[in-house]
Amino acid sequence: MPGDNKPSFIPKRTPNKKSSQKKIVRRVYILDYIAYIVFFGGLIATAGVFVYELQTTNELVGIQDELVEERNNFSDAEMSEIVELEKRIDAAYDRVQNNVSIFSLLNALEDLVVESIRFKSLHLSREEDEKVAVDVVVSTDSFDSTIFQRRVLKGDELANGIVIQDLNVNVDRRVADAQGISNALSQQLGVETERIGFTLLLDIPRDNILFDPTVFREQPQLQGIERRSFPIPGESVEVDTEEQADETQTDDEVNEISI
Amino acid sequence: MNFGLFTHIILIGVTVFIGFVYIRPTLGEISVTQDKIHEHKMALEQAKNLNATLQALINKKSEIPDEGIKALFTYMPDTVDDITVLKDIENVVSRSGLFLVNIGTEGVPNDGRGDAQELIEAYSFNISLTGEYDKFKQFLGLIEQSDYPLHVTSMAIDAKSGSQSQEGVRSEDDGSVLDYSLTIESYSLVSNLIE
Repeated sequence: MPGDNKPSFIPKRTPNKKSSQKKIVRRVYILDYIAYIVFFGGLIATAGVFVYELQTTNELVGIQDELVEERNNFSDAEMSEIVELEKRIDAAYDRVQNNVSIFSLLNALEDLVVESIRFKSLHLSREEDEKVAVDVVVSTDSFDSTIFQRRVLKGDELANGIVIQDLNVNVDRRVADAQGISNALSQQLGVETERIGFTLLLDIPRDNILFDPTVFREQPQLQGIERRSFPIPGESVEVDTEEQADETQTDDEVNEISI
Repeated sequence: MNFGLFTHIILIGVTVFIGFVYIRPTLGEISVTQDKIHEHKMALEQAKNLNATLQALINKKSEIPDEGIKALFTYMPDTVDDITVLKDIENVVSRSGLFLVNIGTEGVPNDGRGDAQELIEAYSFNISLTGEYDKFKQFLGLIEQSDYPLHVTSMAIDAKSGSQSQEGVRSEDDGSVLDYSLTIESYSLVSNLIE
C-alpha cells in the first residue's frame, strides 16, 4: 500500500550508536597486600621479639638468682675446714703407711743371726721412706760361720741387698790358735777371741718391716715381748758344724762378698 | 582498599625502620643473653655439684666420731711442741728402765718425707741412751705405740766398754749394757696450708 507509512515494529538500527554495555574490570591491589603483609608482619615480629627478649631476660634473672642462692649456700669456712681435714688425713695416712717398726726389724735380725755371729755395733738409717739401710759390724770365730750366715741371709726375704765387706782376720787369735791357747786363756791374756770380722750391709725394704699395731694391741704393756739379748761379743758360740762343713773356704777370702 | 603509592612506601619504610632499629639489635641482645644463660646454667650446675659435694663431705665428717678427730689431730697436729715430746720420750725411757744420757732437738722443722712431703713438717730429736738390750727393745716398742708419730730415722747400737759409766748401770757390766743413739722424727701439718 503506497503511502502507508506505518512504523515497523522492528526497531530501527542506528549503525553508529555504540553499545552502552558496561565493561567489568577487576583490579588486584597487590602492592596493598604486600604493604599490609610487610607492615603487620613487622609488627608481629616486633611483638614476638619483645616477648622473647622479656622471656630470655627473665630466664637469665632467674638463673642468676639461683646462682646467688647457691653461692650463699656455699660456706668458705666449711670448705676450708673440709680441705684441711682432708690434707691432715692424707698426711697422717702417708705417715702411717710409711711407719716401719725398728722393734720388728731387730726381732727379724735376731732370728736371722746364727749363734756364732756376734755384733760389735749396729747402725741403721732410713733412706727416704723406701728402705732402711743397716750396717752391722760383726765378729765370728771362723769363715764357716761367715759363709753359713751368708747362706741364712740369702735364704730369707728380709733384705733385698746383702753385702759382706771389710772382711778381716785377727792375727792374734790365729797365733793363739797355733800355740794352743784356749779362748778363756786368750781373754785373760787380752787376746781377741774372735778370729773373723766383717761388716754386713743390708737394704731392708719398708714393706718387710711395716709397723703392725695388732702386735701391740694384743700385748699393750709389752709383757709378752720375748726377752732377748743383743748378740754381743763374748757370749757363747755355737756353730752348726754340719751345715758349715761343706762350705769351708780359705782365709784368703775376697774382702767383699756380695750376695 | 586503595592506598596510594606513598602510603605503601611509608608502611614498608616503617617496617624496615622497625626491623633495623628494634628487631635486629634486640635479636643480637637476645643472642648475648642466651650465651649468658648457657654460661650461668653451667656455673649453676657446677655450684650445685660443689654444694652437694661439700654437703656430702660435711655429712661424712660428722660421721667421724669425736675420738677419731681427736686422734687425728694428735697424730698430725698443727705444730709439734718440742718440750712435750722431749718429756714424753724421757717418760718412755724411764718406763723402759734405760738411762738417758742426752736428749735434744734440732729446733727447726725440716721438710717432710715421702709423697706427702709438701703437707708435712718434720721435727728431729736426738737421743742417747744406755742400758740393756731387752729394755731398749721395750723402749722401741713403747715409742712405736705412741699416739703421735715418733719414727726412728737413724739408730746406732754400740757394744762399748763401761768407760762412760753411769751409777748403777755399769757397775754390774757383763757386756749386756749397750749405748744407743737415735734420731727420732715427729711430724706436723705444714702451717698456712690452706692459704
